[in-house]
Amino acid sequence: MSADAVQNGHAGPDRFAELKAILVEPERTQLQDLQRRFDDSSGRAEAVSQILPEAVRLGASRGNQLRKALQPTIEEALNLSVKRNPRALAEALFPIFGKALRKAIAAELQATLQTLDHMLESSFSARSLRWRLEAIRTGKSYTEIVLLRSALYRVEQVFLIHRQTGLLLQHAVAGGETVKDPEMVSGMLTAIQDFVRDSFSPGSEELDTVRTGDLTLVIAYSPHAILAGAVRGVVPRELNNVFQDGVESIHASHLKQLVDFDGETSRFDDCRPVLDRCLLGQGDRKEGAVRSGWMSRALLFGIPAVVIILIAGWLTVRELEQRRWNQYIRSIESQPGIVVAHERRTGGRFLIRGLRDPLTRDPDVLLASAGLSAEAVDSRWETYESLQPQFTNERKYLRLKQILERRQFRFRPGSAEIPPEMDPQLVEISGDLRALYDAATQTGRSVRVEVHGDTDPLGPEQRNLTLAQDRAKAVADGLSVKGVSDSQLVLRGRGEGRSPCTGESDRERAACRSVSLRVLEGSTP
Amino acid sequence: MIRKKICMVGLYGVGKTSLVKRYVESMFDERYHTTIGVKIDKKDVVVERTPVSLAIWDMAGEDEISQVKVSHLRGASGYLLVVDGCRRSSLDKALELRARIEQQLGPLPFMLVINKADLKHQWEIDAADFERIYKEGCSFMEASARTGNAVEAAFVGLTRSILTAGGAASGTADGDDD
Repeated sequence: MSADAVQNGHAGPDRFAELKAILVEPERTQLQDLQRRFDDSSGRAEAVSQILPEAVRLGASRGNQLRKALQPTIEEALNLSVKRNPRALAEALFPIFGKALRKAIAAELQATLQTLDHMLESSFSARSLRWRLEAIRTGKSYTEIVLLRSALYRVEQVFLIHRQTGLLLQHAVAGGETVKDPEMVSGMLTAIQDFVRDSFSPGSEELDTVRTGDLTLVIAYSPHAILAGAVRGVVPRELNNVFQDGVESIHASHLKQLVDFDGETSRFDDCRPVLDRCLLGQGDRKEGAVRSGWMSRALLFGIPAVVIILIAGWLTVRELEQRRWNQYIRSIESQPGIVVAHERRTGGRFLIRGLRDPLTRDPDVLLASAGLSAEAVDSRWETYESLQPQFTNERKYLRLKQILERRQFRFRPGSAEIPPEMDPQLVEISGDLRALYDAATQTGRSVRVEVHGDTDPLGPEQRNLTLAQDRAKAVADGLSVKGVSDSQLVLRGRGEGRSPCTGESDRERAACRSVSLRVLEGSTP
Repeated sequence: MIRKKICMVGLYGVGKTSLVKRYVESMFDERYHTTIGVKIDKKDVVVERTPVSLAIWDMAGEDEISQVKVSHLRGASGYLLVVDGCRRSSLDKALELRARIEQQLGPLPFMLVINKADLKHQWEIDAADFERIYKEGCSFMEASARTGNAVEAAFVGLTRSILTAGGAASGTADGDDD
């Protein structure tokens, strides 16, 4: 129908629109789609994201334009990132910085510790005083001076080694050092480097330091040469620079010889001064080490040793005293009639409190036999009467002895006859005597009783002697009658065993006309 | 003084160390073989009135487990390729090693040393093998580490080859520095 309209010349606006729609519909749809995509920002971003990496790669490969264009943005972005959240960037960089920092700190710390170690060794010497004076004089801190002066080391040997062959080109030795074959040493050093590189870090850094005990190998490299030094002591960081400078100067002056090396080492003879310059040494390390070692050892071990010896000595003396004291305590506790109530050691003295029967031996007397000084002991003993049989028997014996020795039979002048009024006393005494003999037996004594007769000094002495004998006999007989054994009595007359009685007054002379008793003691066999 | 680095290579147990022992007084312990894989000794020789100090790198022998580290040969002026006459496999290994060395370091003067000449009646290496050796263009010597026979001659022979080669090998054979 539309075709008919066109053919018939009826081309109105509607028909034109219809025709246009038929002719440009596909383009219109595409344009609308493009417009939609253009308006849709997320869709646009999606599309760009797909081609961006490739675009950046292409841009980077075509010169510096892209880098230059991106640089300010990236710098700004990094700045912004650090300002907003520094942690994120720090974490990202940590593996790189951490490693480098650890290495640097470890190296620094090790050097500081070694130097500090030596510094401590040297702290108690005349040198330290000198360094303090120098610090005052120069205005530097004492630590600076100590670090400067105490970093003792000595480069003992220097090897110049051809890097590719491991062959020794030159060798220098400090005076007085003994060396093993340096050619073999240089070869082995190269082999060890190969070994370390192949085993642990293929394709990466070379060994720059090898440390074994007190000896350090400092190694510096150029592309064709190795300059290695055997250093004893604390290696200052500057020494690595000295070696590096050395090898670089050799590299510069002998590059051709190094590259064309054919085994002829004489071409490197003129490198010798460089090696000699590396034979550095600060201070006489050996002597210093010995001296400071002696000093520090003396201080480190001497003082504690003296203190330990003194403490040990004091403890030994104390222990010996304590043993003696224990022995003393045991000995007095084993004594009957002594009760130790309390004993202790206080300060430097011993203290003891207790009870003792007066019949026991004085405990203080036993101190000396235990090896203790009376001044070292504060003792206080309260007396008491022990009820142990040995003490009751002893007391009974002593009481009876006292009673008997106070007894006296008085006689009339010129008479040896016991007055009848004395008879009850005779009975009493004979009883006491029997009791005395029993008590003596129980306390381990053998006793006899002396019956001693006497007279006043008046009248003929011969008569008095006879009268005194008669009086003693009369008492002995009287006691025998009362049951006392004769064998236990010893008769003595005037002047026998004691002086004859001499009374001045009547009263005294009356006392002379008497018989008295005395206990004669002996031990039982 | 001319110094030269030479290496001892070959299958494990062919007698490299015994040959070196016959020839030099060693400063290092043989344990270096098992630890870092090489032991270095020194020998001063005079070849055609030229004094030469040889640094002899006695390398741990190759076996089923460990391979000779060709890197140790870097900078060597030449090498002794040691073979045990009683083991044909050691000849195979030696020729293989030579090929490997030349591949990595280029041509170097070398001397093939057939050890255990004192046990010749037990040798597995026969005429056909000698033919092979000729064809490979190897100069060779028969030696005995046990009796010392021809040991010095082997070292001197190698040194002579090195000097004849004009020292071109030393320091230039390691273009592939790794």
